Amino acid sequence: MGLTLNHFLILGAILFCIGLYGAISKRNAIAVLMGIEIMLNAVNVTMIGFSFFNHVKPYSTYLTGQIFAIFIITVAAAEAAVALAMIIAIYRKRETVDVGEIDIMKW
Amino acid sequence: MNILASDLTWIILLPVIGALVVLATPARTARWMALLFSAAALALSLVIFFRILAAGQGFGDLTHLPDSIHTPWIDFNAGSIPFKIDYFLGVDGLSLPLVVLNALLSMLSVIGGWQKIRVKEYLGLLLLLEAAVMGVFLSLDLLLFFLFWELELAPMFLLIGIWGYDTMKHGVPGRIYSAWKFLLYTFFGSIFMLAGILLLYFTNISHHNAATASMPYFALTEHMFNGVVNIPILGATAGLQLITFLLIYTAFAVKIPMFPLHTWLPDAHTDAPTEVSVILAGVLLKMGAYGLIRVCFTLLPMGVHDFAGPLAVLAVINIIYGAGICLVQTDMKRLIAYSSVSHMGIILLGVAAAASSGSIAFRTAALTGATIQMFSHGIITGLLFFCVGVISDHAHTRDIAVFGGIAKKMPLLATLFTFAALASLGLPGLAGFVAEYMTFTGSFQELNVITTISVFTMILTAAYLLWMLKRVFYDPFNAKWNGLGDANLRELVPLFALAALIVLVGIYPKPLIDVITPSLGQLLHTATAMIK
Amino acid sequence: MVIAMALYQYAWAVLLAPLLSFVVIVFGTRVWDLLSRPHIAATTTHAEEHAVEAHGSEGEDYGEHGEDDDDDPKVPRLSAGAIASGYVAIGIMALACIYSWIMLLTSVFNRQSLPAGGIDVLHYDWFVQPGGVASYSIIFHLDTLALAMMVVVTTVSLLVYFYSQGYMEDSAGYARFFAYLTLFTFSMLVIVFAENFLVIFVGWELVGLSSYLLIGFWINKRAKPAELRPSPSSAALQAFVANRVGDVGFIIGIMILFANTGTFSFAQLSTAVTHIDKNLLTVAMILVFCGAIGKSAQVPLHVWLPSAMEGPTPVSALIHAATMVAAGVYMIARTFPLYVAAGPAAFGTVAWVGAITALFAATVALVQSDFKRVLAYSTISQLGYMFVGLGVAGSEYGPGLGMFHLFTHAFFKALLFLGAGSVLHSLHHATHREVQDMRLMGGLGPKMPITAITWLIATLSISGFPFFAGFFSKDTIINLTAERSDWGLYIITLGTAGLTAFYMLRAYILAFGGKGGSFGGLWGGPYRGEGQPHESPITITLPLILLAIPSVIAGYWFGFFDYIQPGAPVLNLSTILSDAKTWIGVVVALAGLAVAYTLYCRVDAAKLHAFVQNNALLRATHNFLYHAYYINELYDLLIRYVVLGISHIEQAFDTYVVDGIVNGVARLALLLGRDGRYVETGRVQSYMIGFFGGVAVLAVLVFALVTFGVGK
Repeated sequence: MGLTLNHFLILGAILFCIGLYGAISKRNAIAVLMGIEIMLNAVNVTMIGFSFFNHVKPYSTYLTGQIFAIFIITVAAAEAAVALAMIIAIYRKRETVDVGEIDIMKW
Repeated sequence: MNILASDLTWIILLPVIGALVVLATPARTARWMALLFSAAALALSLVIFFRILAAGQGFGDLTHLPDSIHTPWIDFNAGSIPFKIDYFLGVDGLSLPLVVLNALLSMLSVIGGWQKIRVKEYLGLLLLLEAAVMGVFLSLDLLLFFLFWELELAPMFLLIGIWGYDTMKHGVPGRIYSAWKFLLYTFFGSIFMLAGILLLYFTNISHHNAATASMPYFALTEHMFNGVVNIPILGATAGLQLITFLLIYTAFAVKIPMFPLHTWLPDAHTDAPTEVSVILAGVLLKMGAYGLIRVCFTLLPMGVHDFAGPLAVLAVINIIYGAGICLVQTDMKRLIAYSSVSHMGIILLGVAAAASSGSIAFRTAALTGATIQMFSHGIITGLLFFCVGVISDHAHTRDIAVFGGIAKKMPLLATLFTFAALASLGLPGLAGFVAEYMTFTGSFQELNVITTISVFTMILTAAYLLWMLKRVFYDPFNAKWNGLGDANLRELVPLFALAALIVLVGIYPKPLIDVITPSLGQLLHTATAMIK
Repeated sequence: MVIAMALYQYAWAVLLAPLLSFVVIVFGTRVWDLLSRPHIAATTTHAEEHAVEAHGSEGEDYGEHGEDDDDDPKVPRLSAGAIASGYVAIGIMALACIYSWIMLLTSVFNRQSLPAGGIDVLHYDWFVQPGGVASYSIIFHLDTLALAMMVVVTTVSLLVYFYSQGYMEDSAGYARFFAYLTLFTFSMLVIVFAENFLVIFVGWELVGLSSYLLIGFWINKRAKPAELRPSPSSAALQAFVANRVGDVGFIIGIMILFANTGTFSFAQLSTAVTHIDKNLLTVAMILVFCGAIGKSAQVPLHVWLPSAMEGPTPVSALIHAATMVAAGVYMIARTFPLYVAAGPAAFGTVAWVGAITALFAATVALVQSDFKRVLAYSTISQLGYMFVGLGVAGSEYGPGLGMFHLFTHAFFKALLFLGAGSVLHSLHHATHREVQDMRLMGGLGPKMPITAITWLIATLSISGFPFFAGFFSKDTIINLTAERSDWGLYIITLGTAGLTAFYMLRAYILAFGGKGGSFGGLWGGPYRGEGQPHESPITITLPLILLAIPSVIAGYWFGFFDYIQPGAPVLNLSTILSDAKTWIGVVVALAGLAVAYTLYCRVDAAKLHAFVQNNALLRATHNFLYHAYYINELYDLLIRYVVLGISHIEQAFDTYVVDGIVNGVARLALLLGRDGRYVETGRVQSYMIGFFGGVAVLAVLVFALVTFGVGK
């Protein structure tokens, strides 16, 4: 009895739900962003888990899941940079980071 | 095969080139250019007519085209599914009269629209409209047909929306309201037609493993498919032809227009400028009727046969209901619009009778009558709209109640208007009579109750048209109209041209009948073979 | 024989002659007429427009400013083009008339020269199908029936054309009038020459058109409600629509025959109808008769004919007395074999409708004060006689009986109308306004002797006075009803004969005689109108004189029945005179004449009027009859409230239901868009809820599907 795929998946699911909760319920844009990061990482955990426990030839040799995780980390970094820049820009313009008030694209 | 070598291509291209030339030249010459190109299209259509006539082989039918061009246009396979649209134009006895009619009415409309504001754009769009309608009448590939069918909407939409009347309707200027109503209504029908065509196309691929949307191909009995399909939701079965027919016919029913899909027509007519009304009533409605005969009846005789009963009932509603409403109209154009609903119903009646299963001779007579009605209604209603246009240009109103006795001031127009009204009410010696008489007498054997009810339209038609004439032209003179002048020479040209044609067809319809008979003969032959 | 055949073969020339005149007038002389007038086009200045304002119809006259200028536009002098129009019409018609008389006489004296079935003179096809089934051909045919009718049409036409020269002498629409007249004659000849139902229907509608145009000839004339007179345009509309009502029945009848036999041809039908179910055939023939009811103004579609008197008087004479209204009779005569083949109900309907109409119209005519209206009702009544004649004849007598009365009636009724026109014309000159009321006439006999004498001849003829034309044709019909033991018909027709004699002599006395005149009041007496009326010009009186001749002698064509249908009985003067029934008829007619004479020549008109007005019953009866049983008013209500009511309901249905659904769909789409856009809050988190919520729902769905397996 050691580390199994289920552990990875349950961890991913818990992480994802925490992230989702944060992204939806937080009013601070930074907190929302953090929630999104957690969700991305939850996916990373799942990806790596799948990749590690995959024993079917030839796919097990490709390491696709792990490579995918690295991509996600890269993208998340870039995304975090852009998002933070946007939040700062919005803050400068509107003096708030409350996502409830940022609704200029409504109807 | 070089598509530019075919005169049929040029019938479509000439108005298009004309439209471009009109837009590119200054207004002074643009009018003459428009006239020149529309006249050229008319001349070309007449050349084709007389060439076929001179060849002495008759005007042929869908499977024996006297003049055609057929060349692949779009042809590729997506996976194992072939997509194939051909550039396939052709004329036969059924389409040729309508081609000539379209060319004639377009040319007369150019003359009628001589003094419009923004005349260049107006005439240019009229020419584009002519080209698109030509395409509908000429194309023998269903998907090409559909393309032209949709293409015609654009110029029409602009013509009504820009040059229409400003009377407020439902809170917007009438021209805007009617243009949208026309566009959306027609689109609504077109969706079903596209679905129907695709159903035909793909069913053919699975049945016969042949990718084509060519009408002559489907017109052959061995290529018609006859199966039934299950409709899973309803748990019922229906003939494949019936379903395809209903889908395709929806578009035509809107265009004809058939009750209860007719309400766009009175609005479009009242708000459209005169020449557009002429084209609309004269040619565009005929696209629906033409489609009904050419596409539905020729390719899907079983479908029409299965639907003949309801179609006959709808026809009689069109005829009587439309005529009844005419009695209480206060606007001359609206009155004529509803009279079109009534008169188009006669075409439906003829087709319904022809699709029944009775004696072939009577069915032929009914269908021939219906086909003549297409042509004669085009010229008669065109004339009526031209007449109303003259009054409305001179008096700036079309309200029947404000006139009275103005024949005194406009004797020539009164004469021609009376003439047109008489033609419309089916006076012998004029075109309308031939069509109505043949349709009614031919239909009676099959649909005796329906036809009996339908002929009561004779009373109603006479009543509403002559009553309108009385209120407008006769009776004590209303001194308000003292300044009214008679129609001028330019306005009279279209009037006299159409009047002459009406008399010609009315007295001696045989040439016209001889042109259309072969097509109808082949059509009914196939239909009879199918309808056991 | 060859020459005779050629003679008949070229009969189409008679048919096309009036059409030729029509074309020449419309495109030639009328254009000439219009162009030769000074221009008062739209280019006039404002001031000039006002000067033009009071001028008459079509902006074409510039005569005196009378108060009825709009009613009857005049020109001071006819242009050359207008006069030429008249000459063209008369000249061509004269040739056609002579030709038709030659043909008639040839065929009468050489019965074999014209084949029994007649010959086709002109033939072209519209649409022919294999075997000739359901084919449409225009065929013009000539036989004895057509010849008899053709002679009536061309003769009366010619005389009326000639007469119109005088009657319409200064009308602004002179050329137009002749154009319409020639169009009418052509249309009527189409009916005469018709060989099938298609052609007869064509002619049927075309005469309706000419009638419409001619009734409405004075396009701007006003209605005169006080005299119960509609405007000509209303009358024209009414005439056309009433005829169309009959035509619907007609065409349904035609369609029944056509659908069952596949042919329109009379000749083919008469053999083919034996295969049709007899009841169906009877229904079809009754429906065909509906057309005749409309065209010949029988009850209940008679209302248009009195209104049609608003047209110019020559028109009333030609169309609404002598020829067109008789087309119904001619049509029944033409389709006679079909009626014979049908059940007895078909002929019964014809006879009874005719008899009821005859009585009805005669009672109404008793009290009319409008000169032309009396004649209109008398026409309706006489047409009723013709239908009785057709209805009772049976195959033994053939259509000759009704046709004979048509033949004689055409002459004396045309004479009556033209004479009335002569009076009206003269009064118009004397009073400078339109007078048609007989109460404003009287004692005109010595002032217009030719008119009066010819009118008296016609009156006696229509009354069935012995040895005049009407005596032979009408008494034969009345007697035959008795011979057939149809006592109801006999009593009605006999009584009507008495009424006819009464109202005709009454009209004559009111116009030409009166108490205090010579011959016991029959000639002269006090004139109740204004001005000095005097005899009309020769163009008007000559046709009167010429028509007076056949009004007497036309009845002596004793072989008429045989001419129309070979083998039918030949009349014989001594048989007629030795028949007691003849003398009953004569006594009844004389009684009618005597009563009229007593009441109007021996009693003061004012006293008579007071007597009627003081008796409540008589007054009510008088009003009831004067308004023609209020049938017109009833129809007015029916149309105004029922027909137009239904139309209004349809209109509302169209606007609020059919179009309401269309606009409703559009409004629904707008509404959905307008209210649905609030879903787009612009807040990222609400989108997120939607997105992940959607994913969750889908996940559950997929899970459920996979677990519980719909596909399995």
